[in-house]
Amino acid sequence: MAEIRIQDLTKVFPNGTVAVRDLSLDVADGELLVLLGPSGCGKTTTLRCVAGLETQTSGDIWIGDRIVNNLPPGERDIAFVFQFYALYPHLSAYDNIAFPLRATRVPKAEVDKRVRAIAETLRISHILRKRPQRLPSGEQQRVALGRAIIRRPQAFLMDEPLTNLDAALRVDMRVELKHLQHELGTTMLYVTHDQTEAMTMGNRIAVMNRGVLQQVGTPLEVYERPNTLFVAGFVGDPPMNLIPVELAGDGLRSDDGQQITLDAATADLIKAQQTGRELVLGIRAEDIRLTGSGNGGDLRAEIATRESLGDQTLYSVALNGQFVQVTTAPTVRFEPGEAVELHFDRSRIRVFDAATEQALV
Amino acid sequence: MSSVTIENLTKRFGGTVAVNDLSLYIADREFVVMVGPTGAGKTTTLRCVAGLEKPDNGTIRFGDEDMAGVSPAARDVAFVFQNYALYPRKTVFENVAFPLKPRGYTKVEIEVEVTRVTGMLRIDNLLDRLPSQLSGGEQQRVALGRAMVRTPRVFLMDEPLTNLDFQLRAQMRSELKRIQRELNITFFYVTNDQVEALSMGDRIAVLNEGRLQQVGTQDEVYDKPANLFVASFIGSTRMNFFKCAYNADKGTLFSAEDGWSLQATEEMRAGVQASSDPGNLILGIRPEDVQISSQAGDGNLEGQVYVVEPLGDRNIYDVTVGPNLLKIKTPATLVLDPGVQVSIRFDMSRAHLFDGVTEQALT
Repeated sequence: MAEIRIQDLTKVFPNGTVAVRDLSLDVADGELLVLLGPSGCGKTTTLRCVAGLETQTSGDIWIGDRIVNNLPPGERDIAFVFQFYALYPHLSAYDNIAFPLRATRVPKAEVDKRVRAIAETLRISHILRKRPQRLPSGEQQRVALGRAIIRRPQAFLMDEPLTNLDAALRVDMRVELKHLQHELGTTMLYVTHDQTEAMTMGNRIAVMNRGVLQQVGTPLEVYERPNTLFVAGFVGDPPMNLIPVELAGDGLRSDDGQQITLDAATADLIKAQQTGRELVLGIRAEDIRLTGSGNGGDLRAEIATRESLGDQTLYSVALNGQFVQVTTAPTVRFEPGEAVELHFDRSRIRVFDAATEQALV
Repeated sequence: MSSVTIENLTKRFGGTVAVNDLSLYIADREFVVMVGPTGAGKTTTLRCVAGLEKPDNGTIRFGDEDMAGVSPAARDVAFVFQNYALYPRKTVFENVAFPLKPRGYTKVEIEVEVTRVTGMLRIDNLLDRLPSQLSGGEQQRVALGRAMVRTPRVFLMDEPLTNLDFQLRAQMRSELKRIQRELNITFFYVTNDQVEALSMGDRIAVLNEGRLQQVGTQDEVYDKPANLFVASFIGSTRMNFFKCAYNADKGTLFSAEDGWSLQATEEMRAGVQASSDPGNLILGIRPEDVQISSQAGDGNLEGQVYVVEPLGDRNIYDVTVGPNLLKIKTPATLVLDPGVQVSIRFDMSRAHLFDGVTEQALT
């Protein structure tokens, strides 16, 4: 396996659309990097440039120690997976997994060794002699995964391969694919629009929007410290609460004049960087505590709705014409219409500049 | 406004029984969500209530009024589908106002109604736009507005949020719930998404293969699933299941094959008495009711970390225990690497026991 380096990649389509703008990104050897963003953000175009299915307008793509800009897809020594294709029904699970290797004339003993190793990792050693249609769908999918990944190219490129599976199977396959990638030390660039998939699978996540890379980091870095308003609103279920505020003294003031105190150092940091008056306070649903009135909270608001999620409860709280989401343990109980106070965990607050959309603290 | 009573509803298509002897009461102004996998019979049930399908058997009443022979239009229901067909060349205002004109509303009345409804849906700033100029979420709200504008007796909704992306879907869930409260109208809502069901419904009706499995509040279907199907279908991270048998002498549940044994609770011991076969039981436990520790001997099972899935505020650990893969939800602060040996402890007071033959709950 090898690393992938994308340097200053720009792709402009003939109609003038800039699909990818000046993107630089490294996928380390043995890393699973997820490229995440909404449809049209340029993630698939990026992947197709790496694969050689699109020619970039400018910039370089390295696979290992080679620049591959001018190599056709077949000579880049990478595997591109769109989905896990249906299995050959007349072949055993073993022969299905071995299939891509036999086509490339790998010695028989080597084929056997690799099929058995991958089957062991996928926990399907005991069913290798069975035909696919006799297997439960979860095991069929693992056979398909084994077949997709048995080759040893420099890197794997995956374009939403789990999208067409039903929800339960998608969750199972997420786990198996991540396990397999970790065990084999495969370099993988994986594209998805599904933030849960990105969070749960990636060693790191690269978030894109409108052709521009927003942030690269581990799932927790991106979740806890989003760099831009876009990342804050895109990553997390629910996404980060974003509340319009402005700086007032040593604190933040909401549109309806309520005051959120900050320590002086944080306030100074904001003052030094802000480009205008308008700021946005970002805080995650689990970093807000709810109490009844008269408990010295940061903001007074009113419960709009309560949604049970089983192991958690999600409250939607009406605050000055917007709704703030708060998750609590299922034992915390407030009724719609009830007056409450929101207490913010200071260590978890982000503040963004509304004009530049960049995080200040 | 009206209650809806469905009694012994059966609907067949050729040889297929789509809905099988289903009875369900929806109280006036209640928000009931019917949830189940594709092909469970949800949409057929909804279409029977709307009058778009004729039941083979059973009755449907709105209040005390039998709906047999009453045309869809005369039932005074509003139906919102997954594919919201808006009139492309009409503005938002004209789309929302559309059902009012043939009903003889004056211009002023139409103005008042459209303003009220679009305000509630927060699309009152978009009244002059065409559907093509709106986002998916805004289009969906216009479709809702068109349905809401004439205060029907019952609101019927068939997966109205399915085509929205997940951020919008989450937002629309709480919006819909708020709107139902404000409108104070009976909502009968159908979805295959258990998150929508749990989060929106006053009560949830779980359907599978045409048969009603359980009706109850969120807490009831989540904490007291009536059978294996409900237990596995409800919950964002699926419940863990283990085949096991009961040892009456020791009062334990055990698996000889996987080599574990756990003390049964009093409730389980009582439940086993009603089982078809004490040698064929299934233990179910939710991912958040399992604890994981890197200290050997800290729990009652041993396992190995297979994969770690961070969700942001929590982690899901996938752990192999013998041939089984177990899902465990932990705080985000717990960090264990793949391959690490771990001890696992079940909170048995939160575990569920099922009959392996009938698949019904025993606890």
